[in-house]
Amino acid sequence: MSFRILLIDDSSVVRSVLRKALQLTGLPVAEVYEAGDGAEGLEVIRRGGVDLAFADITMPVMDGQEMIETMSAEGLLEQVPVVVVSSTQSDPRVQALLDAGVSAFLPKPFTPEQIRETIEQVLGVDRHAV
Amino acid sequence: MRSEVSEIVTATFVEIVEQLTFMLGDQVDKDELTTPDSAILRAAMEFSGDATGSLDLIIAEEACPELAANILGIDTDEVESQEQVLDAFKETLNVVGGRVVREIGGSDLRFDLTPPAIQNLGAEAWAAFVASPSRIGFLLDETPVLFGIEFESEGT
Repeated sequence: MSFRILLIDDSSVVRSVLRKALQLTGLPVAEVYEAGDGAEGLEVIRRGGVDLAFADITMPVMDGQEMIETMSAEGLLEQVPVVVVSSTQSDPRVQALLDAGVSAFLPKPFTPEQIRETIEQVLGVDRHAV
Repeated sequence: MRSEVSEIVTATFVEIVEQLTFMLGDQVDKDELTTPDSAILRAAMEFSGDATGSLDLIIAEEACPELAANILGIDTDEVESQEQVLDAFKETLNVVGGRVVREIGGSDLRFDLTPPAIQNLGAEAWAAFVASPSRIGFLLDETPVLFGIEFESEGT
């Protein structure tokens, strides 16, 4: 089993760091797609073939909150779990995101081990099976 | 800046910037900071919600490629573009600033951050930033950095 991961962040640096962290997890990652805002992310998700998305909240064009609400309305959150990666670590905000259907919240800065644990938790991966 | 807030800002800045950039941070007396020879960059952002205010990060422009390289885990000469350099600088403020606001206001504080914006300024602007009481001086490895915050909560 290998994963297809979508990285949604307006910062190319954050996408690069996430991509490198994914490599360092040792998890089998088949494809890594990138999107610069929520609208681009939605386009990729609607095309299919994404197992998990990491998304920022503060983005131009369409922010992460609107993207998540749109995914929920279209039934896409049940197909593609979303992990929010953000520097805005307000507990009420995090709870609101989880209530809206987000699968997990990861504060910045993050480590490859946190990325690995989050993927294992969200996708129900058995650490010893990969 | 009140001393207890200054202590929170200092401890949080050092911790988070080290995690993000793998550069050692050390709070220093601002008078000990060397004035940059070249232009300086200022990244600034605002926050609003249960508390309002602003944050900024100021550094010599020539030091920014190293900052970007450290965040990306590559050599300085492998940094691809000036856009990547500026992006890394903005992300540094975004990550450090978000954590600082949370540490000052508490985990229940509800707030939103605006995207960071960059200003390119002449080296002569450095002295005014140093003189501002809302800014704290740091050395990141050997690089002088100023971090500033204006924080106003509903109760203050």
